[in-house]
Amino acid sequence: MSQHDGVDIGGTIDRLEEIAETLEDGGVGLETAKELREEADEKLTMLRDTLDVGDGDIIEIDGDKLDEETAE
Amino acid sequence: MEEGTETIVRATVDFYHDDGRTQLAVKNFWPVGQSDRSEDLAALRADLSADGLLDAAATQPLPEYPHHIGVVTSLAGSARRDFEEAVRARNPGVPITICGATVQGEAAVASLVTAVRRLEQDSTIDVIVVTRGGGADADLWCFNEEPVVRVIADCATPTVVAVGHEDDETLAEAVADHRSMTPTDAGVAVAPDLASVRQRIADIEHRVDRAYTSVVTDRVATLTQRLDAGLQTLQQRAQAREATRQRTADLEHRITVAYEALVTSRLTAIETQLNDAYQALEHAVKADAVTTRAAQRRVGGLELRIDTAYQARVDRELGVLEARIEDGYREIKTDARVQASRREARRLRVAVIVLLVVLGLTLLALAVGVL
Repeated sequence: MSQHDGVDIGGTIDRLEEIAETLEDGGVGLETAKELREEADEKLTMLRDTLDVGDGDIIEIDGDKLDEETAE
Repeated sequence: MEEGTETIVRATVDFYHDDGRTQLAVKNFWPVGQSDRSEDLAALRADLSADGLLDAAATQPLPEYPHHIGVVTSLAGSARRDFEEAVRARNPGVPITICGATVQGEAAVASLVTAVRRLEQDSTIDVIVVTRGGGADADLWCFNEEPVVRVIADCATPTVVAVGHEDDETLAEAVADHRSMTPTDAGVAVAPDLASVRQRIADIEHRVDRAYTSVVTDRVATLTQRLDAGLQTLQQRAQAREATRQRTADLEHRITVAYEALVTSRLTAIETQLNDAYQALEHAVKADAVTTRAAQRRVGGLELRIDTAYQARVDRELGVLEARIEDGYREIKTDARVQASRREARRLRVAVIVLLVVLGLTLLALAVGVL
């Protein structure tokens, strides 16, 4: 199981950067600012949920057995 | 390598003149007869280059945030541990599939090829790492074997090869999408540092918070200013309206007072004029009555005087005429006298008539003058 199935972490961070820059420019109205803030909050929560996971699985495959399967 | 094997060695010799010791530091070695591998290596490199497998432009980018890492290495080797520790230190959540392989010796080529293909077939794996620790060139030679090199080059999944030596690059590293020096470096290359990612996210969150607060504060301040200005305008308008209302009320009061005063004044004046006119009229009427009575009395007096004078005159004239008539009558007796008396009588009658007419005109003129 992937730690972030369906979540584009890089794209989400890029979008958050864009939101921050847009808000920092200050050229938006209150309504747009509120929408951006809500979108940012949603994405931040999603990112934290995605990143705050325990250790991922470590799966071992015995190569010697693969050789045997291949040989068979 | 068995004892007694003839070997070609690449080494440096150190001589310590204080105690006369000599030290041979071996960097590489290979059995006599295998040194011609360098020619084979050059030939394969040329073939790979001709196939475009060594072009830097052909390399694929590694996933920035891999979903699943596949590793080909020895299950028992330190390279596995180093790689896992590097990945777990940076990104503990990412799953790792380790496909064990023989990484040196005669069986290594087939084992490595099988392991790489196995991971390449797993669609969940989005980066494949082939790694082992350092060793002699002979131990690492399997990473220059064409089957191993081509199976790595043929991978659709981005690949990282980290064979633990820094001096020489194996062909497997040359065809990989990314080369790392050590297993630890390979772990660093494929696993994003979540601490840095979290810090970056925290920084972005802080920026968003600060920028949002700034925007809201600015907008609220602007709105507040507009509201204050609007309120001030409304207050000014209300004050102006109140002033206008007050002025209107004052004007209304002034007009009412002035109108009432004017009307009263005019009415009083009219009343006075009426009274004066009435009194004047009354006085005139009374004066006229007095005048009329005086005129009447005067007319009456004049009438009496005229009547009296007339009567006296008439009586006197009649007396005279009667006397003359008497005289004339006595003279009738004679013709001449009679004729003369008659003519005299006619002349007298005419005179009497003239006198009566004059008297009548005089009375008429008096009456007209009185009126």
